[in-house]
Amino acid sequence: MNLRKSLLLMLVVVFAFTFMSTSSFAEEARYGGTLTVGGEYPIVTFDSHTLTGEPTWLRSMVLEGLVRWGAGHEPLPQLAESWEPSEDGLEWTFNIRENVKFHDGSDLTAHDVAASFERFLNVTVKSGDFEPVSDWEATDDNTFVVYLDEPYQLPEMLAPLPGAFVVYPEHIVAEFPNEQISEELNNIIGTGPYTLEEWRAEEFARLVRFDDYYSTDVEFSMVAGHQEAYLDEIVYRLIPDAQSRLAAVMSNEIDLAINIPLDNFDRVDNTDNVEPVIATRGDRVYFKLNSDVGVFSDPILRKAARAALNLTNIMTVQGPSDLWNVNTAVRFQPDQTEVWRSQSDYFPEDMELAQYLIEHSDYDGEPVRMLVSPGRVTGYNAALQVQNQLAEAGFNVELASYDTASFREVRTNLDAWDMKPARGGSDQPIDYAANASRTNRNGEPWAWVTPEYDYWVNIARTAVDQDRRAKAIDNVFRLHAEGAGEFWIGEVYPMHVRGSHVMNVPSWMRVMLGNVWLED
Amino acid sequence: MTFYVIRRFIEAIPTALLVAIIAFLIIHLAPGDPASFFVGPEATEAEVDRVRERMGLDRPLPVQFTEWLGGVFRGDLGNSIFVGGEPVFDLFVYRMTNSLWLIIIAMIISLAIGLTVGITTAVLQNTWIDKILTIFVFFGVTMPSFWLGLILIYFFAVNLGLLPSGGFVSPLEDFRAAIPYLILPGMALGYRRAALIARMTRTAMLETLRQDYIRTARAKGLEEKNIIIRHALKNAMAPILTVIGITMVSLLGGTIVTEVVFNYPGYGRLIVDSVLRRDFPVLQGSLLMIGMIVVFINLLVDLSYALVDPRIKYN
Repeated sequence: MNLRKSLLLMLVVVFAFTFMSTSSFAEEARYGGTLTVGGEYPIVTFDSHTLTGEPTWLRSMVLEGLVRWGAGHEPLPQLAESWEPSEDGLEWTFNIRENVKFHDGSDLTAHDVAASFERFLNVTVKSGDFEPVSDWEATDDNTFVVYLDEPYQLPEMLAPLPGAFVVYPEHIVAEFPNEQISEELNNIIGTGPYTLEEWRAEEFARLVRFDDYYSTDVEFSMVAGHQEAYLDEIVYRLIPDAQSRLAAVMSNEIDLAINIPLDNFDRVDNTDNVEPVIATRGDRVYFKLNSDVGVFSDPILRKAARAALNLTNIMTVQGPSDLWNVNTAVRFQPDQTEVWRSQSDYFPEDMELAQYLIEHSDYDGEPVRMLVSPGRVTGYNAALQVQNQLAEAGFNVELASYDTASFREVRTNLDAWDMKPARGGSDQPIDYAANASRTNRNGEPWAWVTPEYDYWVNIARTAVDQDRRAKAIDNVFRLHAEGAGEFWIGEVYPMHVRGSHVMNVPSWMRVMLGNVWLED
Repeated sequence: MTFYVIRRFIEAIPTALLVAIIAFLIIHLAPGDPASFFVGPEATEAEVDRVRERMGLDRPLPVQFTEWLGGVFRGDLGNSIFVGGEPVFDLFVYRMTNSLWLIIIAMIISLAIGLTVGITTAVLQNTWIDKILTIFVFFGVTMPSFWLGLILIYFFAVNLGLLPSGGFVSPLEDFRAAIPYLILPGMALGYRRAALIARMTRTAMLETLRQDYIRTARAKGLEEKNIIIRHALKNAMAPILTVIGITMVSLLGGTIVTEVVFNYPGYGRLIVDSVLRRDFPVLQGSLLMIGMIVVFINLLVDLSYALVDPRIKYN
């Protein structure tokens, strides 16, 4: 067989395979039906600019932004089809997609984007993340330009879901420039695949397919890319109790239950009419140490504490071993960046070393006050394990337990605690390293933060040269781990439960319903 | 009587004011505020401060209290921070109405079961039926209502698929559709109370059935059904009514757990949620409203004495 025939044959095979897979998907996926989702979070508002809390996935069905995170940890197009920085890094130009319509029938233009951006900076709690922004304008109907005081990765700051920048029509922004958008239905206008039809705070929301939805054609990835509104309706029901949510999906009253505790996995797996949906991104389990005041202001004792921890034992309490991972990267996954660095190297898991370090320190049995909140189950379970392991090393660990609201207040008082569990899944690693991780709750840098750390953080945030940036990120991770201000233990993969008839439910941490469809 | 009522209303004003001050102080002295909830657990303190400022929570407490109290005198209890910015008064009335439906159903179930079991066990004392029903009552007294709720859900909703596992439809909107949503939470709430009523009914009935006039009625050849219903039960009702009264009061405060398990949007869940996330306006307004309701009920009870006992006069 000559080369030409071989190539032709390969082409035919590839074409046939592509056609078969496409046609089989087209045959399977169907339009129609109502998907009822039970979730734990109340809907406080649909004004995405003013709120960073959950349920973000529900708002993202109605409202869209310029860019969204892809699985490769890079911004992908949503309302912007492309973007580029100027050579000096002081300008970002976004090209806005044409033919996109708002739910009220008007066309999306760059003027809507500029007006929304101004409102966003006025009302968002995240305005501190946009300090380098000096000005912005719509230079024509499809071009939006942002001017900066210093180079800065603007698309990365716009992409993450919580507190996301979304685009409203210009007339809505003009009506509510600095205050929360009034929640009448005709004010909640976006470009998303579903329109908000009715809702009652604390109870339910009903979304209806937007027939004129015009999605980006970029392949779906994590929370970004192409979305197809297969469903006629999505109904969200607030069901705060996890067992009640599970019962509702098992009795077919709802089609999808969000966030079910992992100890129900076997039961779900063995029930015919439901299937578990395991997230591909985990909730990180980590501990913050008070390096400013108290026991852990001594770096030797921070290292002793780290040496005492056995990561696998800590994570075992979270549920079946398939549903968690000892993964101690600072908010990165191995596949997200070439410079991913496992922090496991920094956990020697050596109890004798821990005991040796404690013996040769000034530690005299002072209480190590671990701040916990039983409502935050993942961190609470891990805290009990950490308490045992630190006690074995010779620390005198006392748990101080508070309800969530009190916990958040007490943690601002650095004299009140030495260590506390935390959890989270922000996808802004460098922003996290530069802000939340670097500073204590009073906005001051932690004692472990060195000038070298700040130097590399600044490069990681601002460098235009991507190689230089990668090197800076690598150094940030190394210095972050060496500072021992945080112990990154692992991650727990949230579980959702779908009825067997609910198809194509992708989930990273939160569910995404943009391409979900129902079997007949 | 009119003068007395007016005087009681005037006396209620300082009580309400005291309730308002205590409600405000208790809520604000507890650590935590709604701003940190609004922005989520990962927000930095600077972000929380921005929301705190927007909500006006950075102002001195006396300023906040004066402003809130001014609103109360104008009939404005403020707006919820978390429940879609709804006015607190509307929210409270809506949720209280929902809870009242549940309380009514629970009361009907507890009375139907409690009186039937109580009378039966008294009449059939020391028989196997008495023993079985006593065990039934014993379970009711000891079983936590959230556990019973979950058992009912898994039996009737998940396994049999007869009733919904939770949710709510207002009987005012669709009465027929609403009933299935009330049965399981009503049973979970009413069973424990039914057990108490049954226990008290049994004791009161046994005591009454031993009285001489019952023996006389039997000797006269009266039908047993008439003796039990007309003579024994009627005379045993006083202590039973006391327990029923206590049951109603306990139902008012006892719906919280049931509302959570059955995802029922009642006022109990509203208050618990508001406490947990420090929804100050809802908490302050709800506590004030509950305080006023208690004052009003006390007034009604005092006035009802005069109706029951003609010797009592209010001048």
